[in-house]
Amino acid sequence: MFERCQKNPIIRPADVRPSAEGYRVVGAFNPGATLFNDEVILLLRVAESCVQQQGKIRIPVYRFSEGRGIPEIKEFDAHDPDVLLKDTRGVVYRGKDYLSSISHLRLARSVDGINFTVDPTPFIYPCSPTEAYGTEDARIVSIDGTFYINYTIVSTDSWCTALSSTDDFKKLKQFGIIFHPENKDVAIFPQKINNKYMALHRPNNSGFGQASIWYAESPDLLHWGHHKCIARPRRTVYESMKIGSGSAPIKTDEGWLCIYHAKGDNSRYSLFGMLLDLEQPWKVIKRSTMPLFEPELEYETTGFFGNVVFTNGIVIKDGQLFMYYGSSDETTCLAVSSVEQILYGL
Amino acid sequence: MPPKKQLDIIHRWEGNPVVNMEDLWFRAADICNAGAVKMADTYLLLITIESLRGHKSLYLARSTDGHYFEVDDEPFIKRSADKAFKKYEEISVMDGRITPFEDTYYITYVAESQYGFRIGLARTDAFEDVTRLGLISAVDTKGGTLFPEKINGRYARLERPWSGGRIWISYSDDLVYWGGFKALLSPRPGYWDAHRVGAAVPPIRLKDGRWLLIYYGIKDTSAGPLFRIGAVFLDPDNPARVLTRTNVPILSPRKPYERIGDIPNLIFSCGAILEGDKLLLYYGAADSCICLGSTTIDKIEQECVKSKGDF
Repeated sequence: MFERCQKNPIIRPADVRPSAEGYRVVGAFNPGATLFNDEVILLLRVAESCVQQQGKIRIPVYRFSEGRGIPEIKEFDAHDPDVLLKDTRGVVYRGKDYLSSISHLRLARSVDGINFTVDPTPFIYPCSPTEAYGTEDARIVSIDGTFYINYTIVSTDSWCTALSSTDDFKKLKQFGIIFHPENKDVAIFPQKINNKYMALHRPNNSGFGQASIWYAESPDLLHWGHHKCIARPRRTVYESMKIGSGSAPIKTDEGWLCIYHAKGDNSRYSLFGMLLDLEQPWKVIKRSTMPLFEPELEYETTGFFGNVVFTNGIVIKDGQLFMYYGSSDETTCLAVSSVEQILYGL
Repeated sequence: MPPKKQLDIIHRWEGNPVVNMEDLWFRAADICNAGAVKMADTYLLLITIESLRGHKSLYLARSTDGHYFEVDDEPFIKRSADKAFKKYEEISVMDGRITPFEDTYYITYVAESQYGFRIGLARTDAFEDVTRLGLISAVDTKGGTLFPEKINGRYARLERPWSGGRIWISYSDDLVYWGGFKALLSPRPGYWDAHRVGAAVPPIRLKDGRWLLIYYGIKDTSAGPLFRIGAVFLDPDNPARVLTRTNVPILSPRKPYERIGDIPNLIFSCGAILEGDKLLLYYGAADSCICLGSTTIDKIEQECVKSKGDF
């Protein structure tokens, strides 16, 4: 039911300028998306590692000063016996973890929704030790003229969800943590019901149980309560590991349409659809039994982390549903459908 | 001859345990821990007891002297049959912590179900009946407790999300919606509290305005987790700021009743009573009984100072 854009991947790491000298962009993926001033705005997750040198292991790190993150490079001797390589994702040096790549969030703009110009500098950059391992996977939702952006912040000991807002995609207001560790995949609804904001969120539940989709509501977007578990991963090859919500739910006549991701056997990600009751969005009316979208083409099956399609940015443009998605934790792609088609397919 | 070295600054009551299996009117599997409060002249414990079948509930126990307790034969809070709570409490309600607040008492507890662990909030005026106010957290968090007064006009709570093993603070205007999350206390690599920490006793406001937080610290060992008790003093106006912290535990499992039981080498406290300068700490030992230890604020204070450089 989705048609992939012929130009996929529409944004690649090579299209993005590194945020610091000696840094190298290895991923430009998982974008949040919205419409602003007749343009499609994407907020990309830009993952950076370091340009390597013979005999060295170089790791990106941030030094924090006066609420700003200053990019630096930590260099280890490749033969240092204290350096332990921890698969491809990091290095342990004398008990301390370092990630081989760290993400920040970068804006990209387009008139047609296909050809994007990526900003030369970051929009949301790690700015405190709670973000020492990066900012990731933004969702943008427009409520009453303000754009709210939630994203995952990662640090030495965990990850959780922070909130910011902007009116113009120039100035950013930051509100701090809205869901404590471990919690991500937060999708805020585009309107209030009964004077309450609403969101889907995903406590990881690593201590116990399964990573499921939860519902919560808030009087002010900063304080959340009335948490309810609304969808649990099913015991299928597609959902066996976890599920999590994507972009802001889309209001349709039949209910709130959510496209969520599922992590299944062999860490393969696919996308499913779910319909929530319009008035009581903690009630699931429909849920697709088979994926709406799954990794098939080469750019989806191979890459930094292959067999991953992940969406956190959808816009309705000229009556069509533009689903932006990250492929293999590396590139940004586009697939187009319509609300009617998806509802029909649920 | 110098006096014999005292291993912990908490003095164990010679008659410990204060509540054990023989004190119950019914058969049970475990006696886990207890919240504590003094209401008028009555010492009250809210004890987590696990049934033979495997579900935990909260039982009240009363005493006039703080040492000899009568345990109720029916739970004060048991797994709810109410639709809003039932599916999240289907396994257990446990770890009740009592926070005196103005002229009422709030009870935070851990609700356990196949969905995971959540924090529940209930209220009682005189421990005759209890009203559930709601499940105030999502899932994957334990060690929830409420401050006994508002902080800058807002309710404040502590909790321990599983990930990171840290104590977090958050705030609310209405006890329903919570935000302003900040990490307050972290495990310290290499220390006795290297792997996880959590609030044990609800924070206690001291005469000088500071907050005393008795917490539990866990070190994972090859024989399983070792639970011990430590203390921190928090800033009077901003309890998210730690002023000082004991570098050594103030209580560690040592006695046979703390070392031998369903969960060996476990001490776990959910409640203490401050009488003047004297702190009565009620703690569960080895998941098998409730014990009493006492110390003074002054001793905890000195331990904070003395243990600097002790490591």
